Amino acid sequence: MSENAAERAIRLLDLVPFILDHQGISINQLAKEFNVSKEEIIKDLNLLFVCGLPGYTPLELIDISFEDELVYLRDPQNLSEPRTLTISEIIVTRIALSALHELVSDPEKRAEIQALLRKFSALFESALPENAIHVEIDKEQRTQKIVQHAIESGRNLSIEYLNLTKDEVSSREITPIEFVKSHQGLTLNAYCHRVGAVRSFKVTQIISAVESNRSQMLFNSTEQEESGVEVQLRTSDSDSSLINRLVKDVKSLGDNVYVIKIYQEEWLIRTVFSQAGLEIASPFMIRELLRKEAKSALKRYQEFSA
Amino acid sequence: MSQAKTERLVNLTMALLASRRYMKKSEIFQKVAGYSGTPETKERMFERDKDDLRNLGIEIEVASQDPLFEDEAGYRIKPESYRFPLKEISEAEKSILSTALALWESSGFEKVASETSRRLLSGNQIGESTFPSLIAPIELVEESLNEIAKALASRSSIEFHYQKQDSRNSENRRVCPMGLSTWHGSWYLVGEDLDRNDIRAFKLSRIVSQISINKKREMYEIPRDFSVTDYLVMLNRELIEVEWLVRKGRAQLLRSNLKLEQSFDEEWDLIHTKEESLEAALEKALWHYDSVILVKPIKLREQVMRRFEKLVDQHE
Repeated sequence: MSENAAERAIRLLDLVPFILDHQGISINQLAKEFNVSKEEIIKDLNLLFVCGLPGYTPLELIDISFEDELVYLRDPQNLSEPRTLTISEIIVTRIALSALHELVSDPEKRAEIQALLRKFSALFESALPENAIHVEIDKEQRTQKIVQHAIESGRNLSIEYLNLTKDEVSSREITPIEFVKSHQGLTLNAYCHRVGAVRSFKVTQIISAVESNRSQMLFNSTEQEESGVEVQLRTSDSDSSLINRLVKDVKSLGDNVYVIKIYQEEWLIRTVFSQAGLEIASPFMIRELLRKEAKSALKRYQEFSA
Repeated sequence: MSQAKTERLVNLTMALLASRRYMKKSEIFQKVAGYSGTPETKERMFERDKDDLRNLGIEIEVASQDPLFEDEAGYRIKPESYRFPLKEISEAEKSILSTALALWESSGFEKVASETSRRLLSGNQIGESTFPSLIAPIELVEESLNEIAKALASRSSIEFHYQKQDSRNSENRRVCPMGLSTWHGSWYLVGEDLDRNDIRAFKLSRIVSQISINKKREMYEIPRDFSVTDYLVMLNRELIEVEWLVRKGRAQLLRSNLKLEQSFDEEWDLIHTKEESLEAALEKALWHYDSVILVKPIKLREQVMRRFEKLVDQHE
């Protein structure tokens, strides 16, 4: 794109306060900062030399000199301070601050960024009201993007993962492998260095992900087939879609009774609690456990309500 | 030719910036170096110069109603609108800004970011981001942002072809832009639709033509209390406020998105969350049966208790 006279004038106006702030800067460095060739900068400086305030005597001209490739400014006239930001620049800066705010997890840092964002918006209030711009970075998309980057560059990730069944947040080092889309949403298959096996992680439950510099470790398939426990579940009606949504391998025994294999008792209990219309038929031990848990939960609520 | 014009634009900016009062055109032609030729030529030159500077973001004020000027307009650039209030920004704040601007790395916006950084931070090195570039995936292209930003700056209307969801044809829309918002990774423009006399939201990715900006300026005002999110239905879903008692260190899911957290006693914290629906809140309460007590709404608490009763009965 060829530059027009006005764009060049803007660069000239910007050169003055910049040089004032960097007395003795080299022409090369100046060209780099302003993204133009060295020849272009020399032409600009020569032109600035003849610009100034009405009257245009030496006293009113911008006084600039360059010796041995170094540039000095003796009199900036009324251009000593940088030009204000354009609306594009204000928007771009505000988006960047909002994005940073969502990326940082340290509460103190977050508060600092928030305060700066408010201050910055207030400075340019008359150009654009504070609430005319609203930025929120979609969390799932953000995680996906970080993970994708790690997969492509073959790097490990340190993640904080919310395990809903165990209701705990754990930190793990993982080597991401691939995304899988399923009825439960987007999941990530990754080698988890903590358990030494490949695990699936729900993307929505990845609280934070940071690329770690450690090189990718080779996986050794030490994983042993977990045995699992067979459970019989009864549904309140003949609709099997609920069961099919919960687990992949389902065997129907008729009479709304299904056999499924579970690996974590806790998962089964929470699932039966939260999905209406499920009953644990057997084994008796787990059925009994659920009854006890429900009873003590009810008692807790009754005591609280009383 | 263009060299002369550049020189004239710099001189004009400096003169208008230096003047404490509004300068009449005749005064400008007389005092500012570079205006020559017939009165009509000078007039045309000045009109173009003024538009060029304004298009690049320099605010030139006009006073036409000033009794001192009879019927002739006067012009000036207010120093406070030309200069960046650099003193207001501390060193610590500059370092935050520098980290933030680095997020634009390889996004198509590096140029704007480095320009900003040069004036704000006195150096265009926006540095390498410590975070992977994240802004790029949100569908925002430099061209449309620039056009909308220009229109916002001059408060001019814009025109574009818009393809509504589920529609194969596009239609022409004339809009006075008022704000921009993201939602789920997409950008929305909110503005007054001039043909519908209503404030509407437009998804930027559904604008299928170039955006053209009306030459008229100051066509509308954006009220100071304008809030773009008021006009985005998806951001204004009715959320349900739920109060919970949560065992200390438990129910991380509820804690991730909360509004208020305080310690209730040695065992429990009291927290408030906003939930999408009653069903969603109920499911969370039941999943965390052992670590939360749903306090309010009371009706929902009763529902939780009925579910517990039923589970006990079923497994008796």
